[in-house]
Amino acid sequence: MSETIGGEVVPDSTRQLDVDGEVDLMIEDLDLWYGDKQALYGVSLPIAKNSVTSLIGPSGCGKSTLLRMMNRMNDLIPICHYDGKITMGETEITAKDADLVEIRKRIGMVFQRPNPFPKSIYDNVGYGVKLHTKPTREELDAIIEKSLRRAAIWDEVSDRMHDLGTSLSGGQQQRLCIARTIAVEPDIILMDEPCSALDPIATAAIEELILELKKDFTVVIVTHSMSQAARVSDYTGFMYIGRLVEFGETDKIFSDPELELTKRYITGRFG
Amino acid sequence: MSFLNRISKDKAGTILFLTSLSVILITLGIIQTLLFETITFFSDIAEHRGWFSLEWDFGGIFSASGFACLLLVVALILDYESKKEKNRLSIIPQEVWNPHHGIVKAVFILVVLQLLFNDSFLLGLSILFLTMIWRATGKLQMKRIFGGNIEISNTWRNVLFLFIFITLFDAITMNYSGAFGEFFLQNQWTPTGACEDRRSLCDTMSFGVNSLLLTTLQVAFGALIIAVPLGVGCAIYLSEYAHPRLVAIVKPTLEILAGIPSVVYGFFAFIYIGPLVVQFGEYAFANGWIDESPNVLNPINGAIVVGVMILPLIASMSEDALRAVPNELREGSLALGATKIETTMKVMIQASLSGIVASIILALSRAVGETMAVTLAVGTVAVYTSNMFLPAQTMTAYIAQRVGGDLPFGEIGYLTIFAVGLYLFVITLCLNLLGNKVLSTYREAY
Amino acid sequence: MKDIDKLQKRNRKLRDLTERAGSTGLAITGLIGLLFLGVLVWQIAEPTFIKGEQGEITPASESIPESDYRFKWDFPTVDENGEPFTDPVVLRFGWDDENGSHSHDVEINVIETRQVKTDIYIDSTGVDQTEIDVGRKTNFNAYSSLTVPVSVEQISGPVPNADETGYPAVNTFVITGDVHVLWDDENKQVFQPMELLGWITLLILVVVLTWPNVAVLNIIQKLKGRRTLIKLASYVLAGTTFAISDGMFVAAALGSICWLVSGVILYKIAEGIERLESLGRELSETSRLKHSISARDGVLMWSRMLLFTSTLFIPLLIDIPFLTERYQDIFIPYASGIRAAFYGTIWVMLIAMLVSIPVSVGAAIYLEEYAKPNRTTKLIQALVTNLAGVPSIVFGMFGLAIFVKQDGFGWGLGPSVLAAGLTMGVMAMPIIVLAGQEALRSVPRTLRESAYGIGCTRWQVTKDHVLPSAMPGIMTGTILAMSRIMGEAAPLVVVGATAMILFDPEPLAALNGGNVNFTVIPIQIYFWTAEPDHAWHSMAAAASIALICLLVAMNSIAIVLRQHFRKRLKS
Repeated sequence: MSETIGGEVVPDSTRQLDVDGEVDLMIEDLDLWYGDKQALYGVSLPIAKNSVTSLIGPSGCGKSTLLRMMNRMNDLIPICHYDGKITMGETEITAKDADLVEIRKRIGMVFQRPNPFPKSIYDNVGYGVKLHTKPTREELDAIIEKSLRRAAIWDEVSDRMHDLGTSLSGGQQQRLCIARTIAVEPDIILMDEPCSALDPIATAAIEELILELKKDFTVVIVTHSMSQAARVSDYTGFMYIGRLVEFGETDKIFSDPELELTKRYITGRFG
Repeated sequence: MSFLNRISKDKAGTILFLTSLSVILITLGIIQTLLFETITFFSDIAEHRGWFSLEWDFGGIFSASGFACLLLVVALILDYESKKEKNRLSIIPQEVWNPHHGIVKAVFILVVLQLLFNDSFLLGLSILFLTMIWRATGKLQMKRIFGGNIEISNTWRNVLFLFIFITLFDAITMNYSGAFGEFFLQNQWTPTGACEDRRSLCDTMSFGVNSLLLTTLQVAFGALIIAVPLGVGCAIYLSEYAHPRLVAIVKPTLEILAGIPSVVYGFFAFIYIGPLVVQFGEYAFANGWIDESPNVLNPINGAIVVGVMILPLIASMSEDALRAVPNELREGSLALGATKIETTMKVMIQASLSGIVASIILALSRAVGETMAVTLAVGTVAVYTSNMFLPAQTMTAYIAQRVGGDLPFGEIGYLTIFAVGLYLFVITLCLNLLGNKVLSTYREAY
Repeated sequence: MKDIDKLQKRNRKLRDLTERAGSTGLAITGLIGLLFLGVLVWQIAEPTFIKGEQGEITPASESIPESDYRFKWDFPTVDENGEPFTDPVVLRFGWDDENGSHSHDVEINVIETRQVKTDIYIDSTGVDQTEIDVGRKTNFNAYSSLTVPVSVEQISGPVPNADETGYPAVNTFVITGDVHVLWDDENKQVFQPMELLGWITLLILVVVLTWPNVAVLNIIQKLKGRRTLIKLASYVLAGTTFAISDGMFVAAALGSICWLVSGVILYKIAEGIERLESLGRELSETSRLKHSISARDGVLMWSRMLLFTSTLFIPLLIDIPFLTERYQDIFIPYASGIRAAFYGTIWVMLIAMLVSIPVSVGAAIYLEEYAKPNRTTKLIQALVTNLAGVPSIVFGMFGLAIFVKQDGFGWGLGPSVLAAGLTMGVMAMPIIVLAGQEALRSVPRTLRESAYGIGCTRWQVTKDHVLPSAMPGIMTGTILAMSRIMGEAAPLVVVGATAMILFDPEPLAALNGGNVNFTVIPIQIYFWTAEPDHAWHSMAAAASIALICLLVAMNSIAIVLRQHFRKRLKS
């Protein structure tokens, strides 16, 4: 079954999709509306554990919306409502009475623009940890050092831990935000165009970091750069006007896509 | 618009420049009038009573002010030491400089409480200063141990020097008189006396402006105690919690509240708040909490009504500050699993703090300069009492009441209002300068 | 096992509890603003249109706990044949205290002419009136400051009217509390409940019509084929209102305008709905509807504004003499009006506008468009910002020394409308400059650059491109500044406004040697509030409502202007 929108043939996205290995997060038949405008149409998507999944597509196709749905950040928008199911193991994320605090602790998020809090670097990383636990000073120091090391920023900031987080450069700020996220040790890290506000060198550092993070975490990344998706991800989903048009292993999507629409997007003929 | 076309480019610029010069002219005019009459006022008194005189009392060094001076000196030494690269403070264990944050909070609460209940205001203030220097030093020491950019500023040092001078002066001198000593340091305000010649001074007159100033501060800070929690709470609620539809109702309501003339608030205080306060005062009197039975006109009445007046100002300015914080910060905190109240209290308030502080300072300036409401609410008895249920008079109310009668040019009563007015002008100007400076730092931040 | 799971956990229940407690607490503080407004409006409005609590009717023999009482009688002026009563009413007041028994007779003559309102005061020294004349308003009060019960006995004269509860007022006294009913000469209440109800209904109608939503639109949609009918109906209703108005010209005219304008708005909305339908759009997209109607039609904007202000003015016009016909009556509070203050306010505002607007708009343009960022500019900017925060009373003292007094640097205008207007103008200046700068700053840079790009001079760019775009902002700022100084009383107290004015103030009296005295509404409120008699407080309340209505009307004009032009600039 397929439908035609704006001259493009868009296949119905409620298909059974498979990934190798263990599935960490399962999205099933998700519809989403902003007010009376529908933004997602029956999206189903499995996220494989300890892998990088990237979502690509033209602007306004709903990839950020889908990402923000995974830890219910969309709940902050009053006019947003949805239908469908997202599960993470036993937990149903979309349940009405779901524990948002626990969900967001387990599914962290890194944003488009680096957003360190107006606190010291130390407090920025310690903030999340102190929300959920009561660490002693030694424990906190250890966690902060470990997180900063894992985010590959320790060497740059170890001598200025009590400076404001906002005093760092853009790329450093973004890595600080990643350190802040991994300090609470989530299972999944969602990244919403993490490099779009950064220069090429900082971007390279972050991409390297993402590949490193894959060992311990599941990463979902939204990007508008196809080359970035090709470089960092194991699986790629292509979205178009609120539908997940094609999903599969990155190599396959970029070398031999099933659909004409995907091919045309990847080769840069629209979008 | 044809005549506008004839104005050449340069002429237009000049004319516009002249219009903006009028602003300078007005300011100069205000300062000039106030200064001129005030100088006449002081020299008039000085003719009779001299400019300034005091008596030394070195025994006073053992009073509360002397102790306050000692504490400030300790704070100054701490400040000096902490600025040195290799200092002797490292002898003291690190826990003293960097205790558990719970202890810091508790100490600050204690310090603020003692400020409220301390008999000697200067001593209370110096304890507060010592605590703040302790924290500043602690932060510097932390930076020395763990690393970080150390910025050295001498603002604290200057403030400390000023206060050491003030406390020392307060400790070792007494019985101030003369024009300046009387005006700034005495507490008796009786600017009318039964003199034969209306224009001249006589001995029954006394010009200690402190009795007006203290009532003004009583009313202004009382108003802040009411308006700050409510106003900031309102701002947080509107920007973080409220449904947009509710904001659409409450925001215009606040604007209407802000637009209601102060004389109407005065009427409100006179017919509604005053009697309520008296009821409470009667109860307090019956229980022996206050010494004298309350009057319908009193500083509490004024504080409440001025609090209601400045509430919308604080609420709307703080709300603007909170709204100016980028949404990413809010989302970043929530994405870490913080609850909404944690996000608000630990991130949003910190990020918008300078905007909120600026709104409070500007509101304080408004409260100090407020006239009609306090004239109708506080009373006309120019005596400062710590019992806030008795009538008193603020600086603005004195001016408004004094000009009510016939005031011939150059008479001493005419001159007093300018002296009081200049003092008021200087206080509010300082507050405004401070507030606008804080405001501009927060505008730069975002 | 993750590292973080090894640490001691925070109590989730406690965190949830703080969340709930925090949000509730904040909601409460958030709504206190509304609460304050409610209390404020109620307290001000209450004495003007609510007939105060009737109080209990207590027999004279019962002990009296409080020390201050008010007795009230209402005697008829004519007998059952329509003849005026000629015999006086004699009342005997009696009480027992530690000095023995007392009794005092008071003779009351009811006369036809309007008379000074007299009250009877009873205290330990006796009764302060033994013989009084009361005018047409035969309703009068007696006050007691005794701690013992006072008995009242009527010796002669007509029987007093029963009050609403059916009790005659003799030998009983009525604790009337604070009864402040605002009466005009015909004993007609100023704000009658039914009229108020009607007005509130009209106001709700206005709000609903002005901000259309889906539910309203669905109703209007049913009318769409009968647009001409709407028009005709509004004409008929307007005509009827005018016809049955019974001489109240201004109120009738405003009422008719309301009907006409409602008709226009309905007509336009119906037209917009049809347009939308022909385009195949959903009605639920109200923003599109608003766009389709209001962005292109200045008519709708002006109609809304007119409708809104007319509606606000109607309650005032129910008692128009209070606002524009009556002066303060020295002796009878309820017969007073604020005519002198009303015209005083208008003159002061006009002079202030004449003085401040050209200068401050010029200064705003200079600072934003011309000034180079040097030390002078910074100084002027700092002065403007800080002048806006100077207490208003300081401006008053400036006015007193410069404009009012003749000695020293003074211009010697005396405590006149001219001096007050100049003072207020000076006070408004920094506010207008700041608002004007804000408006000029919001004009996009591209507009200026494109104008320079085709070779305009700086003055041409400012005059032809920047000013027209910034005009709505400047106008809004000016109106808001004016409404702020309109409510200011402090500077004028210092300048020397007086409360008791029995003539219209002359704006130029200071120059041609006329009577310079003047007053404005806030001053009138101030002096009336300071009067000891509660009756004057009712007048202060009525004047407050008049002032607030004027201010709200001005502000709503500013808001509508701002919204309209913002929309136009966006589209």
